Amino acid sequence: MKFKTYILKTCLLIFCFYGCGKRNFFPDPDDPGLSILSSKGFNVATSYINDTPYINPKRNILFGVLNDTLSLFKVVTNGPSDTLSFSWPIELNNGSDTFYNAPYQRIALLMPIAKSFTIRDLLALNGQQFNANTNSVVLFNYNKILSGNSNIYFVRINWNLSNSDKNQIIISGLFNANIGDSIFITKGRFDFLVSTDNLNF
Amino acid sequence: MPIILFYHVPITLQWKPVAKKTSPVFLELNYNIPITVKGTSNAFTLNPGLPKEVTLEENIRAFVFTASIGFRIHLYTNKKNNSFYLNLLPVGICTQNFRVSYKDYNNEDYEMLNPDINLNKGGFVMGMSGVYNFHNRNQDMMIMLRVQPPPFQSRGDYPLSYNFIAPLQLTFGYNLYYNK
Repeated sequence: MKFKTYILKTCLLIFCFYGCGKRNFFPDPDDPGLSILSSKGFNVATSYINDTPYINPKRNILFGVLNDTLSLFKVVTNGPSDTLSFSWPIELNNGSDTFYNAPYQRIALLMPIAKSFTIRDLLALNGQQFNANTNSVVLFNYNKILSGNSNIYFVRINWNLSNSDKNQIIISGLFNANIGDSIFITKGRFDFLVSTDNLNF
Repeated sequence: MPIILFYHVPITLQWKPVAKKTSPVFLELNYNIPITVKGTSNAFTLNPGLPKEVTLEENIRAFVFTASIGFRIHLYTNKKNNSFYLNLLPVGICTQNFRVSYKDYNNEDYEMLNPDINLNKGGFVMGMSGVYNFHNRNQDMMIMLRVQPPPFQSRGDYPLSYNFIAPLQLTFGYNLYYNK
């Protein structure tokens, strides 16, 4: 009897942990499958790729939530400038359960930055728009890497004032891109909460 | 979050189901006709041929309807037969319907940042009002100050710029009598 109670309690605990994940996806009524443009640090990014909606995945797993959010880092190069990489995994967001068969698995927005780039420079990108002459986009398609041009608009970049440790930045904005004449990424919008402890600049 | 003040034209109807003058029970229907509240919101675009940021006029109209059961407590009557009552409204149902619109919003080219959306929710409420009745040979008149907290209901997780309304209402009206 004791053993049965122990099993029951363990199952309940696992069930509770499994169901605790909640995502802040607020659909845009004008653009089906996409989130609204927000600046709250909701860790959500959506866009159309050839008119199909994509989102960064968030999955409930045992004992927590796997939140595939922004990976932001500086790529040091041998050239006169370095590269700032914003990348996140993507999956289809059209109601189909095709996580393992989605044509694209990850997107990266790349922009050139000075070698002396710091967090202060990142905050200075607030309100700035960068066109396709300077930025590039990379789509990861299983074993292929597809690259093209992108436009990025950092609508809001500021400290998360509700965080008492003052080590979180909210980055939100718009992007679009094209890879040749065949792949068009449109109506992209992102809203990420980034911990400055994890940055390499 | 800044507090948004909503203004309404209130209409209140009270009915005493028991005709006896000493009966304290009454039913109250309360409808607040909204006056549009104006605000601003920003929208952004990547289109190089357009201004990258525009400020749009946001209009919010909040319709509030409350149905309550109340108890009237007599506090005071003066020599002219004017009286003061305290109305307690311990149980009520309130619906609050917010309608949001943006003037000249080009949603093809622009994306609104943290847009508000329509909301229509209801919940239980309590309320209280003070009523002063002016006795007149031809027609009794009354003035009422009524307070009501927001409904006991979650607004949801959506990041709205407004909250549920806690109406503070000043009403001037007539007492009508009928005989069965």
